[in-house]
Amino acid sequence: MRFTLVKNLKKDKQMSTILIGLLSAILLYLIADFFVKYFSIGLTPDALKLSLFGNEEEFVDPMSISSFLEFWHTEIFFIMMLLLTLSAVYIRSVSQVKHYKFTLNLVMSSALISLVSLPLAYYVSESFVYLYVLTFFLWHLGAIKMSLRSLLELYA
Amino acid sequence: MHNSYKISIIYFVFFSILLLVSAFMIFATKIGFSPTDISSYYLGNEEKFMQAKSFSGLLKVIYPHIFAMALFAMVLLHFVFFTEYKKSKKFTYLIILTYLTIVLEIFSPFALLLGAKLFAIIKLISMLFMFFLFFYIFWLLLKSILLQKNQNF
Repeated sequence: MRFTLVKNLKKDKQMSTILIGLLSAILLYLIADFFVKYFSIGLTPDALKLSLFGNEEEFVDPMSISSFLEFWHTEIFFIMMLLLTLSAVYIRSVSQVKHYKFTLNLVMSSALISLVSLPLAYYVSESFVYLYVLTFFLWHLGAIKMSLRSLLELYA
Repeated sequence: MHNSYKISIIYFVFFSILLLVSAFMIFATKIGFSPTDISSYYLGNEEKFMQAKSFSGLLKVIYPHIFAMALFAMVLLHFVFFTEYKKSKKFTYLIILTYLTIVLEIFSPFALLLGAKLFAIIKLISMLFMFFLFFYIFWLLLKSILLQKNQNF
């Protein structure tokens, strides 16, 4: 990550343009993720419960263990790579902002909790879907804030 | 390097642990941890009503992992450059061993399909060894960040 070594990102026009492109893509990915999750597993506790555990009355099959594990595995990989990249740009472009560490910790920890709460909901208790939904929104909104803040800093 | 990258790296290690846990669970659920289980999964087993894997089916599963595992190893190993181990020979061996085990872990099922049954054991050993190496890298990173001062982090 060459940009981590650039002293003043704002003065490096090429590097800041590259990062603006990357941040815009991250922003679009995060927004698209809302829709993808909404239409696939659901973004409300009831919809998520239906996807994970099915419903005999509505003839909806539960998610199989192997499908669930594959979904979870892919989610972890994408989220960890996305947040590592985003946090590297965010730290580099907005390091002078006082409370950026709070946002960074909030996004990272809520993403981590959302990923842990998913298997807990599947294997332990379905009430963990509430925690998943809450932390899902929390880390997405925090990551959108990080992207927008970094974009503003690079534009300004 | 910026001091705050420590936060990102610590979280990255936790995400990585979660990734390995999920991989372990997939392996346990779909394949199993004995050479017989591995042979049955790839070569099929009539008693268990398991079909043999085809080359194209295997390739479909393996191909995203070729890039993803190399990327994961690269990201993880490049963080070690910011620790005191960056100039040690141990680190060079660690890099070589990590990539070698990844190659063995990914491609041994193909050798198994070609008839080399020994690769069921190699698949199992390489997977367990790869896990060990990743956890060892996690330990090196966390030790450098949390326990020692005056690092380049």
